[in-house]
Amino acid sequence: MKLGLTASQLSLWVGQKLNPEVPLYNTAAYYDIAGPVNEAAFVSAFQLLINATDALRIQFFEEDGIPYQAAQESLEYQLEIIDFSSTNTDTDISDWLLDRCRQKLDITEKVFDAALLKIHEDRYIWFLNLHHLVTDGFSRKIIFSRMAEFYASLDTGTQLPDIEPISPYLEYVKTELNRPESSSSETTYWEDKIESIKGLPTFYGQKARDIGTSATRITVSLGSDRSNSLKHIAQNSELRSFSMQLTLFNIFSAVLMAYLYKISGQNQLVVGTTNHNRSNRKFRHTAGHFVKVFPLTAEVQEEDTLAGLVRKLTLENNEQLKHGVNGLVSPEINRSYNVIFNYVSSDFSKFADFPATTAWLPNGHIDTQHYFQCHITDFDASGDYKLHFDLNNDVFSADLQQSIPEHFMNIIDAFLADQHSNLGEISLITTSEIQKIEAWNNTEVHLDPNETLLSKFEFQVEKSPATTALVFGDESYTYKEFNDKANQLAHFLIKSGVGANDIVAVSLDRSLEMMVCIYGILKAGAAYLPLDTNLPVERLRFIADDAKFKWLFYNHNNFSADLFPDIDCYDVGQLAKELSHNPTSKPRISTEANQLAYIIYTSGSTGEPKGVKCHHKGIVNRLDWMNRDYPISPEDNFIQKTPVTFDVSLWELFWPLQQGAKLIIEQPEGHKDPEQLVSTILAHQVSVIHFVPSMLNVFITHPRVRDCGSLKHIFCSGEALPLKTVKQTYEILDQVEIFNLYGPTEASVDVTSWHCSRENLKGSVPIGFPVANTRIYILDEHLNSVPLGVKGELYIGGVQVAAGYLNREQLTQERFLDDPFVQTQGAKMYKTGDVARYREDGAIEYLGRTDSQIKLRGIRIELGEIENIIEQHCPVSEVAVLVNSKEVLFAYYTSNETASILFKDILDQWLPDYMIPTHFIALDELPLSKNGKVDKRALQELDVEMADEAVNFVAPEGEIEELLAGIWKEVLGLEQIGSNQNFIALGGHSLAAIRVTTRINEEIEINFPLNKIFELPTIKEYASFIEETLIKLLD
Amino acid sequence: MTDRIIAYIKEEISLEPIDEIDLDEDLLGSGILDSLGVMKLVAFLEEEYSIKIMPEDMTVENFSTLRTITDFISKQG
Repeated sequence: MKLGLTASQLSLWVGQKLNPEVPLYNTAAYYDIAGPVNEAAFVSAFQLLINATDALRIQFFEEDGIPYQAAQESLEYQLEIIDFSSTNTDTDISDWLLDRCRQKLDITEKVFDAALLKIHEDRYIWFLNLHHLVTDGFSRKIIFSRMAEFYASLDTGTQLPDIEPISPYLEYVKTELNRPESSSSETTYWEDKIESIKGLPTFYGQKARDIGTSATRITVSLGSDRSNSLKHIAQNSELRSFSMQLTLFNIFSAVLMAYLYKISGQNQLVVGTTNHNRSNRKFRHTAGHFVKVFPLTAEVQEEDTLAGLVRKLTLENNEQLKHGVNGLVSPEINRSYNVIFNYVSSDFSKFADFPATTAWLPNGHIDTQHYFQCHITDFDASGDYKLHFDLNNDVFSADLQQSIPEHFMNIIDAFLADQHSNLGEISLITTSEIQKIEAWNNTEVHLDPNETLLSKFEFQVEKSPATTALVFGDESYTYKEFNDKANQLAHFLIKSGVGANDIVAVSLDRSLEMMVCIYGILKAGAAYLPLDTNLPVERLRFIADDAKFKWLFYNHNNFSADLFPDIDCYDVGQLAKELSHNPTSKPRISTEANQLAYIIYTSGSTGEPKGVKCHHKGIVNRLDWMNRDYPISPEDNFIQKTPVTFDVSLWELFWPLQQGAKLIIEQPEGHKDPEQLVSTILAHQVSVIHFVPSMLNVFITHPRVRDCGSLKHIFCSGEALPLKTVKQTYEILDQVEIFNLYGPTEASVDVTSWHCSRENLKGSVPIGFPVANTRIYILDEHLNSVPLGVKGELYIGGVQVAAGYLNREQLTQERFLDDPFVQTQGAKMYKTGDVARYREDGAIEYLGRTDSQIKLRGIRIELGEIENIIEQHCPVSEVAVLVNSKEVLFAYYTSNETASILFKDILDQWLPDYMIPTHFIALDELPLSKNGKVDKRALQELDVEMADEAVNFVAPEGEIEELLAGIWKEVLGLEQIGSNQNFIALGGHSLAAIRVTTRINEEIEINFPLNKIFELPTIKEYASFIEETLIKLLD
Repeated sequence: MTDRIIAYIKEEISLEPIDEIDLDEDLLGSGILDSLGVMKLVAFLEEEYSIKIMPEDMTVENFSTLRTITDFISKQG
């Protein structure tokens, strides 16, 4: 009698078909029996076991793509006995077990493999490998007990025990198959439940795409102290459920949810939990595959206490169990979770009269959908729980696999210490992670405590007075000329009453005077405050009132001194003569490293502009670091093109002149014009340059960029650097090296750096490692360090942290906090508002702003993360993703691609549905802000017509495409299928894939593997693959 | 009411065959049912008496004995 497969069996069948080569569903265990086993009795008992257990005699086969099962009437089996007693060591035995448990079972023949190992006279090991299609955790105990009964009666020679006749497994299969499908309200319940699941948790920012089945099992013991405390707490009436086992299940599932919340940051969570499904007495003693896995969901909040979470999960588990007993597992249910949680507590501590122990043998594989599995067991009735984590090797590195049980255990310990502590207070990080972060932050190098921003420049003036320092158009200054002019300006200021820590504003178009003013202000011991030369008057007034400066230099017509009667405003053009009467000697001013050097106003993404107070030692450290890591020489030529209101300009303004190099001052507005930039680079053989990534993108499209062979180093900062931009730049400029720098104005320009080396261009570009004398912290809302890979807010500590916001005590206190990670008195750390995480190698990945972190249907997402994925996988040059007030995601992009881009089909492989933008809008260019960054506000205001959402229908062409379309239509029950439509998007699940593949194989008479249809999910792709294969065969 | 429930427990969900169940017998403590059995009983009661039992009412207090179960059901009407 042949039967179909139950829904639960089918999902295993599909998993095996997708991975035909691996022993994915071997469920092997060994039983270590401490006693002089009677070998003959054991062998006979095993035959009796087979006779009594139809599940062990089942064979599987396939007809027309549909799997079936049938049990053989009888199966004669000679149990193998292997003698390890003479020579072998424990290692040999465990090697043998591990090797044997990984041998693939041919389930068309036999669903098990078994052996009895003689270790010595008084110790035997029974090895038993069963295919998961015919067994589950509960069945293991049934088989073990029955085998022990048979053995005991044969060993003592008594009659076989009078056991109740056992209902065959296939009878259960029959009742399952005959269950009326639509009648139950359970179907609706589970459909609604799946509908409510918003997305699967992501682990430590790891990608889980294109992964194999290879997995590692990590086992840790809870220890008897913890186990006992848990059981004690489980009796607490507040948490108690129907049984101790169920209460412990509730507690462990709450711990798992808390863990997932902490490492994913997601509030709505789902895990698959097993239901042993033995509620019907008839099949209580039947071995077979009964287990059903259903999604268990929870909404978890930062404020939840662990006890509260246990109560939440108690209710959820009650519902889940109630609906699970009659529920039907479907492929959709099977795909609705990526975590499996399994709690097994059955006693294997006695075999006949002998003490026994048992352990599972990991087969080295888990199915790719459920790549994180956690099993909690107590097999020896010792009450000491064991935690087993089966972790996919493509998702979790070896280091991470070691950390995961520790993170999990930290939550258990927090629960044991105080059930009422809330999730926010729990820290997961491990000692070894803390040590790693500590090592990455060990950036200390010697810094001259007396050095100020101009110390090295003034030394250069002595060293090479006649060398050209500055070039602007046709004019130039030698080091001495420039220094003399700056000194004259400083004397002028000092006479005007300027002193240490005073602020002098500059509203200057790029020119030699601009340089003289900035240097002169510093030489007078004051700090300069740069203002945009196009600033609207109201904005200018706001800053003037806010900063309360009393002096200002300007050199353009947009400024009207009359409007600022309280400020001494000097037009530098008219001042030249007066300045020339001042001495060229260095003013006798001693500036200290702690004094302010510049004030830069940042607008931030929200709120009013605020002035950042930056001191000498911070920028000195920043320049020292850069010169140490990327040394330059007097032969280098720099370009000053960054607006001085943007702090990146600091290293352009000061670094080259510290080292005797030449600085070319770009024309005003020249920084926005690739033609002008190329000309300057070519004319002056510029070797070092900075770009905001958006501007680099524009720059490299200029045809003469290829000629810019003088460029050695390109430094990028200011916004996320797309990998594509790096690659395109390298294709055009093969001698150049690109560096990605990151830092806020509040920490002296840049605090991390990354060399985009050509050998290492994959994934995304990180912001790298901290610069000298700088520490980076990635923290949660309670200022706990988060584990590696977990998202957190980036904080900066060290010498570059600014002195705060000018005249904003309150805001300064909010953003500049005491640094709790160092001993230094008064040390501060700056809260950046940036979201980041550590990669495993310690490089930091920038993920976006906390304020661009949005909540879509309850899930926290970073728009930057979506942008990164689109940039990596779609043929676009640039992209910006925005969300509107109705929670609809828009992607604006530029692209050279003329054909329409199937964004959704591509992104479907990389992003969960809720992160895929609804609208994709092509623009000729993305609007840029003053600093050259993409201007999202301008995008938001764009009035664009929505692109037509309908995928253009492309009719299948040619014999093979038509043949495929015919098969698809039949299997998927659709009227019409275009050759570009995606199989998965059309609703094609794994079972449909089996049907389609079988039909194709029949028609074409070739054996294509099942997973091809997921690799080539359109008719067009699959058809051309078939064509290629056929051509190869004909050759 | 009690007879229908006893019949269901005996035929479908008791862990081992049983003859009698005392009204005050602890169904879980005595090993007649396990927690999954209780859930199946809950599903049965909902169907049988056309009631909806909320997850927060699925407690040991309400489901420990036949008497507490019937008391609980009577209050649902």
